[in-house]
Amino acid sequence: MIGAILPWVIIGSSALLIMLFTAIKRDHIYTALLTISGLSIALITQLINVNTISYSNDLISINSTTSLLSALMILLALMLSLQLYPWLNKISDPKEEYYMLFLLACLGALVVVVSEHFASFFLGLEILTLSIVPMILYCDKDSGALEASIKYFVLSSIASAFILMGIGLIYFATGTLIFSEIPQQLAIGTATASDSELFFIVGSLMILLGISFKLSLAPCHLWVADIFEGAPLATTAVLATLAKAAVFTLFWRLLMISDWQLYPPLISVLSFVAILSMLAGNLLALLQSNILRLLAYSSIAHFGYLLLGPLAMTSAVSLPGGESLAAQASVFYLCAYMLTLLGIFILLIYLKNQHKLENFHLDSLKGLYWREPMSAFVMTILMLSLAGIPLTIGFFGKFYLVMAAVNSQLWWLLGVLVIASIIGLFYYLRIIMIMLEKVASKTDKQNRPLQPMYILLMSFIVLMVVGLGVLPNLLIVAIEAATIF
Amino acid sequence: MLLELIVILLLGAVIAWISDSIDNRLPKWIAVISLLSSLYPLHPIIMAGSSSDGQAWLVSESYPWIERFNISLYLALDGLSLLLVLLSLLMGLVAVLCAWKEISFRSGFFYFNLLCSLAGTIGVFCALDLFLFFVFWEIMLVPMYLLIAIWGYENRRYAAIKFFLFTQAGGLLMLLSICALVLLHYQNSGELTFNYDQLLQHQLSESSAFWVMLGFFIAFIIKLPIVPFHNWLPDAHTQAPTAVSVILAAILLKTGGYGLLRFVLPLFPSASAEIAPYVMALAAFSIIYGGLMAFSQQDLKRLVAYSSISHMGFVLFGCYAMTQIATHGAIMQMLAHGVSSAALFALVGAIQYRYHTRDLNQLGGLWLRLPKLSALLLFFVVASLGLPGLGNFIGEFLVLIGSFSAMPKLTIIAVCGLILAAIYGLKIAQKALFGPVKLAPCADVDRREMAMFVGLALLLLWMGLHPQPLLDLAQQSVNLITVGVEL
Repeated sequence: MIGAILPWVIIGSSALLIMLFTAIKRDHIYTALLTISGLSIALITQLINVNTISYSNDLISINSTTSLLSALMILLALMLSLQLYPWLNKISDPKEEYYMLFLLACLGALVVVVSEHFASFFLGLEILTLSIVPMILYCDKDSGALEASIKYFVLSSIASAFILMGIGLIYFATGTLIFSEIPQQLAIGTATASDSELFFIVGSLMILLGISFKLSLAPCHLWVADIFEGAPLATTAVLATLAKAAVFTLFWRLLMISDWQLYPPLISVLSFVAILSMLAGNLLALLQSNILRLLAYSSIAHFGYLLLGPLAMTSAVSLPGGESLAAQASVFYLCAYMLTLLGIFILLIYLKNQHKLENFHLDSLKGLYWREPMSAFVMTILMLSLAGIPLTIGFFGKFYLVMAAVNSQLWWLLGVLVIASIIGLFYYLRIIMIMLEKVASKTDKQNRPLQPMYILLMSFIVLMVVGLGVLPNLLIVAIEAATIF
Repeated sequence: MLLELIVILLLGAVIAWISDSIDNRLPKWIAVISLLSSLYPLHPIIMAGSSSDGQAWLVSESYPWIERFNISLYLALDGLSLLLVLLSLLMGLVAVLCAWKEISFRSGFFYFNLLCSLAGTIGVFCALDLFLFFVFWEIMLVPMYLLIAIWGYENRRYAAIKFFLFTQAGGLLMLLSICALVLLHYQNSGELTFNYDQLLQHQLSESSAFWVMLGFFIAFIIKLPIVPFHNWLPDAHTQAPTAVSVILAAILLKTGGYGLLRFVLPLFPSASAEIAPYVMALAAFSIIYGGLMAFSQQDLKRLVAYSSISHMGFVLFGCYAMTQIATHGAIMQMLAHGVSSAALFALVGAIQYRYHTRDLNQLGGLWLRLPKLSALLLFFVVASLGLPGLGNFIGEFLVLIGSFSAMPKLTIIAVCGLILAAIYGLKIAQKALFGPVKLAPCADVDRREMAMFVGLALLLLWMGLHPQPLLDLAQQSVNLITVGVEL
């Protein structure tokens, strides 16, 4: 039991230690080192846990799937934490608290991933959300960040309220808060009172609404672009990767465990959300001239694609083995998208720190190929991965998803996926195009040498994105071992 | 052996890129060396020739890749793909020679992309695992996109994006079809495989075969290109630098025809036979439309691009006539068009390099200024309009003679394409070569260009006078295709 939750203990105690040290003596570099080492140890223990430890009680369930996804999340946090120091070092305000909030957000995400009970789910979600709110506002005194944090706070409270109401209705219908008990209790409940199924469906829809807010799925996506634009980059990265991955994982497990697929209204709502997200995300991204807003809308679209995984699982016409295919596809796509997106954020943080970008307007990327060949090259690979071009991990993720969806014969959704991908390709290519533009400026001649840490991170990301794109077997084997159920 | 071929090209690409930082004249030499040395792995196959009868593939090799989906690196050559691989390598060489003086900006990266797209194309011709085929199909696209987007002319971005989007749209449909085909096969046989040979064993039921076939078909005719989907080609050609136009016309378009012959016809014989009349009508329309559009162009490069559409119509026409002779004709037409269009684009590029214009109204009297170049241009123009004795004639003649028995009326319409070809061909000759002199004197073709063009001319002459070895080499593949259709 202690082995299973050891990563949490490590991350949680790192956060507490930072709080304690900050009270005694502030020291930025030690805090940063503590964060990084805490996350590294947590990652190692988590990796050991994958496939060896499984533990479950009423509140949490740690099995190989959740361990693998937790490991992914700690890895993302670790990579991001390496880029925090250069950024925070530049600001004049207190810096140490950011690390604490960062670790707490990470802890919240981990709790959400393994939760097995509505109470632990809600607890984890609130730890995650409430840490992100100050992180959005952190040491950025312009009005954009303030606006963003208030928007996020108010809207996520409303979403939480919806989730709570949904939990309440489900409790009313079934009398249990444990995910795995819901199907049996519901079967008993419908036998005695005929309207408990209705309450269950309404409750589920409310939870779906709250979750689609957290995942910024259309039509609950209106907040996402403003917050991506207003928040500090590192916070945006946490929000876009950790928070969304955690909520998606939970959502996916919820669908899997509690037999929601037996209820056609839920499936049609989910399909509708998927179609709307794919189209709205990509179409709105077309119009953006700010790279952060563009990424925000593209993430809506990508979560729309990802919904094909759960939907393929729920389909009635799939071939034998289709369920595990869909589950693996979801996990693979999630890993692929998270790694790619985090790579883009790390790149942007670096460019911003080095004053290679004036702002996040697309025009400021102009001529990046000739100014910063390496960054531009990595960026191209990452964009191609988002667009799903072969030999990148993003392509194989999409292929996996398409296989699962074809297997379940979701033809309409696949048609939308094709159209949406082509629209998406257009703006990914536009970014590459802008970076290729030749600018005749001689001002950027003072080429500073690249930081070794940055080179290391970038080569790691390229290795992951291209390496796993060429040899996806390595990741598939891990996922296959982890998603047997 | 085949993997080596691709690896040599990719290695050459990387070395060319790196060598740029040492000396910017190195990359082109490295490109030439890697193209020539990639012939080495092929030499035992060329020596053996078509003698290995009975076997489906001249050479094949397979390595495991992604075990979850039973995907392997399954590469193989038969006569058809061998011919196309050789064409790719030769035209790659021509492209490098075209770029010799034209490309000076970031030449390392240019040759990197050029060799990568060649490697992708050769991969397409060799891959017999459907997943691998799709990967190569897309790989040849990205470097091509960069080549047009970085080194193209004024409107290059628009052209590059259009090119990419059209091809990618087809590609995604093909991906859906591949997945559907593989899963339907899995449903029937309980075996998940992307292997071409194994997929060939099973025939799909009629209704599903039609939809699966359609995905492949659209992807391939976008590439070919056939009229409703031809829009990207004139723009891409006009904006691309000469070397890229050469690759595009000589090789990339052929991947579409190859795909039809290799995948659509053998995998879905009954569905193909069902749509054959409509496809042939479309092809005939494409032939006429391409010819008419070519005639109305003022831009020399655009004219040649539209003539490509017309000539590729013959390939589609021949493929769907479903007779041995017509299939032979389609293959010959692909090879001959590869050579003649490469030469035409190279010549247009040479004119543009000298006079910085491709406008037919501004050219004129070229014969007096550049006699050698003009003679070559005239030769390749008449080759492309199908003069007997040259390769294109054999291709078109076989296509038409093979199709006449199947579809006499449509064949008569398609023949009109030949007349149109003569009209726009003569328009080039008349407007650019003769008439009043409008241009300043300029250096005529140098030895590099002369060697290249004479080589191509001899190749066309050989194809036209003694095509039998080529037909023999392709016979095995043609048997496979037409036998599948007759069943």
